[in-house]
Amino acid sequence: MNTKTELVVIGAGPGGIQAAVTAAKFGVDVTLIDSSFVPGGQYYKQLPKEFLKDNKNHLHKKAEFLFTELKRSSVHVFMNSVAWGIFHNPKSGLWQVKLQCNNCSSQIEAPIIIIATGAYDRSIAFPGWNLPGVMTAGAAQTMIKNQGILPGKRALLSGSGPLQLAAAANLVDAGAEVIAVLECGSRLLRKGISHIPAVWGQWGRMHEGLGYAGTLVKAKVPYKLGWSVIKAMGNEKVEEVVIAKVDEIGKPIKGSIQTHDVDALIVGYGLTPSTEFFRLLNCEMKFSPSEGIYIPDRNEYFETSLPGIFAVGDCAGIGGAELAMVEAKITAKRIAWKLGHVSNDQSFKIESSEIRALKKEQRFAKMLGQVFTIPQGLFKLAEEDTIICRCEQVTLSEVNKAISYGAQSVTDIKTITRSGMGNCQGRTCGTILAQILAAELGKPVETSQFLNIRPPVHPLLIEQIEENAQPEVTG
Amino acid sequence: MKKSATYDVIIVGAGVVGCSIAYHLTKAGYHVALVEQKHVGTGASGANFGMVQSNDVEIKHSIPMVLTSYSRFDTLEDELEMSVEFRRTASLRLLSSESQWENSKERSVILPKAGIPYEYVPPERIPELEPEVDPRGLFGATYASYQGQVNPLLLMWAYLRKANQQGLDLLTYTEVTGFIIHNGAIKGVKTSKGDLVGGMVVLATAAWTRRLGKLIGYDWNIHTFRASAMVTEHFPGLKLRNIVTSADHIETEINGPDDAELTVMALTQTPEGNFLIAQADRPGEVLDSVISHIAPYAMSIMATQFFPVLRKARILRTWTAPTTYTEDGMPLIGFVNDVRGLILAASFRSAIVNSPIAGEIVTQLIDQGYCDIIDIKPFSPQRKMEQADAVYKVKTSQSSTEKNLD
Repeated sequence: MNTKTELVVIGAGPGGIQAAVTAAKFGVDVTLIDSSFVPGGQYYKQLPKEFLKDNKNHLHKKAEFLFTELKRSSVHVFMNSVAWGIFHNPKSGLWQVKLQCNNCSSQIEAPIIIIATGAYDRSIAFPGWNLPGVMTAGAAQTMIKNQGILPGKRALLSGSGPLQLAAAANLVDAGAEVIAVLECGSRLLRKGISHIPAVWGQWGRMHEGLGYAGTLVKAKVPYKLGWSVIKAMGNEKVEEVVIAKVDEIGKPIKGSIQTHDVDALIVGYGLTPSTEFFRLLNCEMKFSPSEGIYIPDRNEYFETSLPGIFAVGDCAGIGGAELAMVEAKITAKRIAWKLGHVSNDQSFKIESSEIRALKKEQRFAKMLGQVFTIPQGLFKLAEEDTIICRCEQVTLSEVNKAISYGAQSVTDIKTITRSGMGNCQGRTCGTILAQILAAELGKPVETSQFLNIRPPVHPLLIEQIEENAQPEVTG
Repeated sequence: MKKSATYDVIIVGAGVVGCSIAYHLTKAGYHVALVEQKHVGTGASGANFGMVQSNDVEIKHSIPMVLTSYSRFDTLEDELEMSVEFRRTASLRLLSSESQWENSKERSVILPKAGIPYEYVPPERIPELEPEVDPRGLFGATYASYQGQVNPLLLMWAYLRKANQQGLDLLTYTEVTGFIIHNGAIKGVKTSKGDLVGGMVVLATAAWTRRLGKLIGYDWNIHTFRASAMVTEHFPGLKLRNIVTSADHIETEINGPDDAELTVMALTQTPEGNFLIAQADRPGEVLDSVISHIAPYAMSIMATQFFPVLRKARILRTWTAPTTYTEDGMPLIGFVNDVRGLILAASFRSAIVNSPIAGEIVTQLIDQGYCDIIDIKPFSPQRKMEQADAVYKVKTSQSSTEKNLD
């Protein structure tokens, strides 16, 4: 199938849905695609019926409203469809999104693409982090919410940021014993106080947070500030975790070490934007200190350096669902104007209310970024035989060997060790490698640069590529 | 980097040729900087199959260079004290018509005399050389039994690792933006991170050579095209003994007859069992690494035409890199007239196999002002090119383009 549309939105999370719905209201022909079965993304993961007892909360009212809007809109929705590449077709002058669905291959061409691919959990590498039973907070929530499976009976959470609380509350609700929630940021309160203005007006969020906190207090789950897991052990799967209090730079403090029996270790050291498509397209990238990675450079309408490629939400910098939706509205309006759906007398401009909303959400995002930073020392927990790249089974000692050869960037390490060459194209190990290299060379992490991404973004059978396009062949 | 560091030699371009030159010059005791716009192997060297091939040599003047350089691989890993996964392999090029064989006849006379095995095999002999190939419908094949292959990424790093130990300054993510020339002599280069002062400058810049030359008024006759390839996951469904290529090619239009992917089948298996599949070439003087929307498809149908079982192989990655050719099939290597101290070492037809000798030649030029390992006069950057080598001539009309991935 080969179709044309005016706008393709990749990712049906809060930002993607909002952008699609808003653009459609202006009369834009929109196609929304997402790899999961139901819209909502990571944030609005739709709960199975048995968990619907808490559907009265802030989050789900908002989500429900958005889903209803989507259903009522003219947006063409393709769920369970993986976008494996974005190409430029010079003949049509359009962007071409190649899709892989369950029983179909297709491509959609459009002059404008919005990338709204969100973010995923950030990992740190510690001994045993690749054991079965060690998983990210996002993976644990997917197991509980989408598959109805309990990740473990006796779990410990370690990481940074508010998503941990949500995951811990979900685990408690689902019947697991949660031994503790470890927050590695030790100066949380002190840093947080200066940000009180940013929290002002975030009542819905505070309500959401308090809800999770209430669940954890009721279950008597200790919340330990300035602690982190430093090692996981077990034969076939995780059986024991070693935790420690860490100092301001993230170094474990001697004498504080404890060992706990667990059957699940949930880790979530904040979020990493899914920047794969921007790197695949060679968009201009800039370093963002709060995420510690390169993100796409965008203008005031959230357009990247490539004309027609827009980016909204967490994929272009962690800001949360509310910020994603504000960005989406501004972007969608701009696109409707670009495509000629907003007539001249309705001359396009960003409303002052939108600017206020944007500023408010940016303040909140900045606050979260500053409060929940990961101390550098936690990037030094790996031991010589700790696997850094799980796809290609590359250890820290191999990474260090590459650095001793003279590697100066993550790509140099990749070419020597194969780290980042596997299925996931370095989604997990890319940021870890950057930190290890920077620490080893004593340079800022941005000098480590970033890994290239090439299509397909997800592995693909050759027969699927053959089905995908049937251009005219001569010769 | 200091504001204006001083070097004996500044090499531009950390591809396999630049890395080898850095190794040889630092070994000879020179104080050397190697400047690279991005990471090591940003261009064709990082996008390469690692074929250490002698059978596609330009046959008029290049045979001594390729033979000498190929022999260096016997001891290269020992010399560099690192494995680059070098292995001997054979190359089998499938012919579907007699006219394709006609094009290779001269080569089949000249190469064996020079010591490079190269022969025609009839269809009935193909299965004994490569059981997985169905010979029905083929006119035969050319077979080169004594070829080689390395991991091209490790080869660059094997040179660099030694060069770093020998005092090299490797400056990555540093783009050369201009040249410093006084009274007809090179004094250094301008870069995105400041000036570098050096008595000699070597351009090992392949596809970027022409663009850099234009900064100082030269128009070196190096053409570029974008070559694409892809790699599968470990695939147990096929075992190959040879590097298998096709003389057949297809042209797939991208944007009118002047902008097409010209695709041959080229297939090789890595020691880990992944398949490398190539090669879609898109003519045009464009230096980006963005793959076309056609190339993955074109490479897929060419590969499965010969090996249908590959339909079930999973593609991990596709990529594109700008690569070069010259009309006479020979590199540009030697001093540049009118700018004392400026040396070119660019557009080797097969950079991997020629990388050892490129390093030796440039070191001799810097050491003694001339090269006596082989005769490099035919490769002079100043030469007038005559189109001696039809296979690398890319015309813009359909069906006139002949490619040779032998």
